[in-house]
Amino acid sequence: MNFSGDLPLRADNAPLSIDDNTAPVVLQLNGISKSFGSNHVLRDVSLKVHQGETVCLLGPSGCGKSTLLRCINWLEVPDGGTVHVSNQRMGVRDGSAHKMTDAELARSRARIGMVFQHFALWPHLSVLHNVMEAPIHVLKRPRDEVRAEAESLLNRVGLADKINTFPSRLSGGQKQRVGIARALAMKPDVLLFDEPTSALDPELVGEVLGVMRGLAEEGATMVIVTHEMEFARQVASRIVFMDAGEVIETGHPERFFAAPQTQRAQQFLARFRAPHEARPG
Amino acid sequence: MSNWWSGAIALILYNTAYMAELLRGAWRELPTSMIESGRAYGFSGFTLLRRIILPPVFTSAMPMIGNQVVQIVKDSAFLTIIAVTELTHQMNGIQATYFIPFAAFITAIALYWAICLVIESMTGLLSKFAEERRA
Repeated sequence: MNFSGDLPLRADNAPLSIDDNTAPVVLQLNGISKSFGSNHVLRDVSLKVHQGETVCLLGPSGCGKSTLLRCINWLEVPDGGTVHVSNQRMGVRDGSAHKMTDAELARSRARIGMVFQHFALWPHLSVLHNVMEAPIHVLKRPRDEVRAEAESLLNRVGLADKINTFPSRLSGGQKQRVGIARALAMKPDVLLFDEPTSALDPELVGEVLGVMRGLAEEGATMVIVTHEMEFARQVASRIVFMDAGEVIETGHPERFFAAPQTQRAQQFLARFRAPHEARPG
Repeated sequence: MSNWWSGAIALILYNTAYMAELLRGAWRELPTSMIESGRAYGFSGFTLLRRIILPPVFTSAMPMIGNQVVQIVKDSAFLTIIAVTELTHQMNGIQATYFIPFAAFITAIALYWAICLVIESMTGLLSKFAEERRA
């Protein structure tokens, strides 16, 4: 089912090297740094995401992946560096050094979809209205049109029979699928996933990853922080491996998982490998 | 200013402070992630307050608001001191005229109770509505 016709499909022969990608750049991070007190969480992180790419951010807990994601939509304000989403700078008015006002920042954020680890649905709204809320009250789109789209999005994530239910009555997997539908309803330029399956019971992880896999296949532009290695290997168009607030290695998933170039990536992957798999070296 | 108005203003001021404290408590208990997701989706300022923050504040504070309204009914009896013609004041007048203190004040109690029961059943209904809308 076509849920949002404006997402271009990724070419079958997606380029292996990042530099070959000729699709427009949707998200560009330049020299992002962030510290909490004396703790340097991010050091000079740069990243470019092209349209239709699925970038998986991997790395040990506390390496700054989630903070990086939160810096993209200015939920955390980076200490240094710039973020551009669809060539518009986040947080700072174009062509000046002035900080954006709250309202300007809100308009920029509306172009970025975010899916949260703990769902962060609005408990006072039904499933349908969780999805409709921001398109109606932020984007000011007509209610009938938004409602039809919301219903088809919820149908797509397999929740057509739950539209009038409240979040408190849903399982974790269902909540997260509502979270994804809510993000898609904004027709964002880029979708950010902050460990979308970490808070789920193991048997519910599959249903959420299934939805995300579908999005990747349809060419949505996504940045995913995850610990699901198998999912990353199969779905990512590029892996970005971080450790201690820095990007250590970036590359095509097949190459990254088969032959990581850096020692830190090798160590990280060794901890995830199933015992029956041959260890490198 | 009439007695009625000064009584009303006193009750309003006094209870507004309590109500504000109740709502502040409920707001503080609200998961920050919810407000954050509101911001992430482009809500800001008054719209954020009205659409994302206040509804769950009210749903979670609902039972306490009900209690506070009952408290206002009880506080209204104090206004007899400044001769506002509220229930206690009237009953006092009746018992002084007809010398039937027992019957008059029993009636007052019954009426206060009835008012409180109505408030209670209303907050009960609202709480039921609020329950599934809580985090």
